[in-house]
Amino acid sequence: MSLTSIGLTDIENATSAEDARRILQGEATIDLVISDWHMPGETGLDLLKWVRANPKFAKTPFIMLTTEQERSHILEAARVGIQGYIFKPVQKAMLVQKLTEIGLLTGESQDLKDLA
Amino acid sequence: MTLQRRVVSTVAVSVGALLVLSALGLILVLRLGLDRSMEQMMVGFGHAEDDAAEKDMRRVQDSYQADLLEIEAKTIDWSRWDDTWKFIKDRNPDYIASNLDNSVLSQMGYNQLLIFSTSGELVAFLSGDRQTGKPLPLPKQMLETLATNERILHLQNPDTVVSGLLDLPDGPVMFAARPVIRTNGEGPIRGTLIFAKNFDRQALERISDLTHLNLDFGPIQDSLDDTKKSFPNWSVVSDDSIIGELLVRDFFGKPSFCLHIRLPRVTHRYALESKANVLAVGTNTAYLLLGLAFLGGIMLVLTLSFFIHRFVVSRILRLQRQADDIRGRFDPSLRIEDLGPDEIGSLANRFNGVLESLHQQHLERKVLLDALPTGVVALNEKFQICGAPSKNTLAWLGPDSVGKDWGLAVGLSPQEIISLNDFLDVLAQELLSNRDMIPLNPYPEMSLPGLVDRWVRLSYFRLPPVAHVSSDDAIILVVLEDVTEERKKAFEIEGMQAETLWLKAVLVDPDLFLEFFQESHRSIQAIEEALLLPFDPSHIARAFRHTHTVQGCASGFGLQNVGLVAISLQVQLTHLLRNANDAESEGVAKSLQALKQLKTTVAKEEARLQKVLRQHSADWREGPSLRVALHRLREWSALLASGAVQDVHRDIEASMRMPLGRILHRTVLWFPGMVARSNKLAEIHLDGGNLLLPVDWSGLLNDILVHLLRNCVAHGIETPEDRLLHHKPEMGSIRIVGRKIGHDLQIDVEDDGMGFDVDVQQAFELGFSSQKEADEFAGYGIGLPAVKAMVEELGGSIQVESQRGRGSRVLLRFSLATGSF
Repeated sequence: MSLTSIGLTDIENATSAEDARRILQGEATIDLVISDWHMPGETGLDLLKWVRANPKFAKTPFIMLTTEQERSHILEAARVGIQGYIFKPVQKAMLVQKLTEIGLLTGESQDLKDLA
Repeated sequence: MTLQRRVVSTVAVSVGALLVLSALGLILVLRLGLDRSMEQMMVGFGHAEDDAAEKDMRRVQDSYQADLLEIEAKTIDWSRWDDTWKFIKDRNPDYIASNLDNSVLSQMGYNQLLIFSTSGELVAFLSGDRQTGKPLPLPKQMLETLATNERILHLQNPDTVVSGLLDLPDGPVMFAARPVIRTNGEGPIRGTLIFAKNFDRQALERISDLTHLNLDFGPIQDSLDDTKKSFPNWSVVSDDSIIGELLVRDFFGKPSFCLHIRLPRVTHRYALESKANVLAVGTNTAYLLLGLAFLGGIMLVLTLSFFIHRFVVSRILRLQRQADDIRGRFDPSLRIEDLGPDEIGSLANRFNGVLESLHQQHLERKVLLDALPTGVVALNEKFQICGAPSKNTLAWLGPDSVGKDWGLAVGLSPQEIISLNDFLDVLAQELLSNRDMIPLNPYPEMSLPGLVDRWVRLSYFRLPPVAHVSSDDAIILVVLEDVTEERKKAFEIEGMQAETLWLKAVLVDPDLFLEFFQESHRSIQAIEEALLLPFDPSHIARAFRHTHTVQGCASGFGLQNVGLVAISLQVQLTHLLRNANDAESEGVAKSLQALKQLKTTVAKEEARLQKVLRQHSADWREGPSLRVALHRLREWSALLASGAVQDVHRDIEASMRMPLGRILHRTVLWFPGMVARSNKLAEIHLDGGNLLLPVDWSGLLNDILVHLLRNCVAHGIETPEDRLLHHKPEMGSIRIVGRKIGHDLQIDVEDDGMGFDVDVQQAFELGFSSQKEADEFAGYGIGLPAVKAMVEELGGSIQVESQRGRGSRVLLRFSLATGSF
């Protein structure tokens, strides 16, 4: 399985918040941001705040990854504005369900049927 | 706009419109009536003015006639005089000398005195200024004009007198002519005597003085037609004056000049003043009436508003207040008071009818809610309990819980309330979907103050916004379910599963467990010794490492209760280390207490194991055992009998070494089960399994490997999905590589997990450093110092290499120099 197998294409990998900002500001149009909370340097919350403060990405779906022990992170991020969150370890079914919820997947993909 | 305002404005507008219309009507009527009367008054005044003007004109005319009569009168002294009579005949110069002096003119006030004979001959004359008497020539054409009329110079009757005006080029001249007769009035008539006087400005002024009127000469208007010649004519020229025109004709009837008489319009002025006065009075009256009407209007508005307010508006407001009150108190059992038998009272009764049916529904719903085994309660925007909680809820939370803060009502600490309210706040704001909110609930299950020893599950839902309008309305619904039985069952099942797994593990590899207990006893002994030594942080650190070993292994063998007790001992030891000052007395005592508990728990587990493995009961405490085949023992016995002690010694030494693969056999077997209990996928590879090692390393080496492998799986290998996100195969890989380097044995444990980028030396010491760093380096923090201690026990050294994102490698190095391997 890979992210492309659940129907996502043109995936850009960022190794840090600075890297993600560089990609977001690049030429490619980004339809979805999935960010870990813990990253080297700035946190995912810092990235989220930057994304929401930028009118160009104010409506870009943002999904936050964190662990079950860090629920308060989600509440904090929700106040800034996220479309959803996924607890680590990431479960494929959760990811597919979340992406379907926010309308980025149709829910009809082959993998989803496999999961069912 | 409120009803009251509407009523007042409607009344005010109606009364105002009525007032304006009446005022307009009044003004119109007054205006028309006044105009009409004024008109008539002015006509009357006009007549009066005409009469006055006519009289004035006649006075002027009379005055002029009086002048002529005066001249006529004066002529009589000279014409009926014997001297004159004689003089016409004898022309005696004495007469002239004694009578006809120019001073006569000035004395009498005339300009000319003429004496004619009957034949018309001018016998004598005087002509001059009538003031000074200064001689002047006769006016031009005077004689000719007199001669043209026989009536003047040829008078037949001695009593005749003629007078009139001569229109001469130098100006009009008044005259009177009488026949010259004897003083006794007898004839015969010998001639005519004429006095003349210029009708000049001076003469005009005299008339003006007499009549007190302003006179002037004026041109003869063509418009003055003949019919009006005999009558004075006047016309109004301004509001101040009237100009009258009096046509004066000469003796022959020909118009001579026109007198302009300027008459002040006194009557007219009075008329205007009267008119102004009347209008002023009229206007003031109108203003007064309007003012009275306005005041009356205000009174009317106030009175009407007062009564409408008293009988309608105030009662509707009362109805509204009571309805608000009932709504605010959320109590459909309340009723609106009786407001009387009219329409408003009937409206109130209908409200009460609606309330009645609402109340019924409310009661029915309450019965339903109370019948539910779950509790339902609503929270307002301050997260206080509001509305009417169901019976179960009141029983669980306490009867006076309505209005309380939810966190307090369920017995949370202030810190926990902050955390819960943070969650509720995000829920209330709908920042995440209800579904996403469920896993974020910080206290999904808890025991409630009114329900000790029971577990209640709390689920929170945001109510749709249409249901709330005021600050005390419900925005969050909490559903409470008693899940005690469910939890009990779950615990039972979990316990049974653990038991089954444990039994299975024990039966698969009993030696593993036996070794664990041997290790545990050794560790407990070491901990006890360390604690009983004089206090020193290094002793406590050693005790901690041993405790950690016990805890790690116990968890690995599924002995949860041993693990939990070991953790509580670790907590005590950590406390002891951090608060070194008060360590000696209380801290050590507490640690020994915890150690005692660990001992008891281990003993209990040991007893359980013995029950299962009766056959091992005799010798299993004595240490590691080695199975040797019977035929080997017979061989060695035979060799010893033949005296080949060296051979036997070599053989036994060799038997006490074992290939790495066999030593690690049980760890490799244990590995898949451990991975299965995690949410990871990982496989293990062993290279260099043929290397021979001393068999008594087995226990420690396996413990080391168990630690390292647990670390790899728990903290190194990512979940399959995380690995996919990072473009790695879902299956994590761990390699154990054994190598011989000179006289040393090196064992590398490598994983391809997430790695870490910390200072290795720091990682070894983290077990006793700050919590923050321990969090950051997760499992390596506590695991590595324990591993290091065990490696050093075998005389080895440890090194760690790692690269974030790529994986990590632990290098173990042991010296094999003691034997001939």
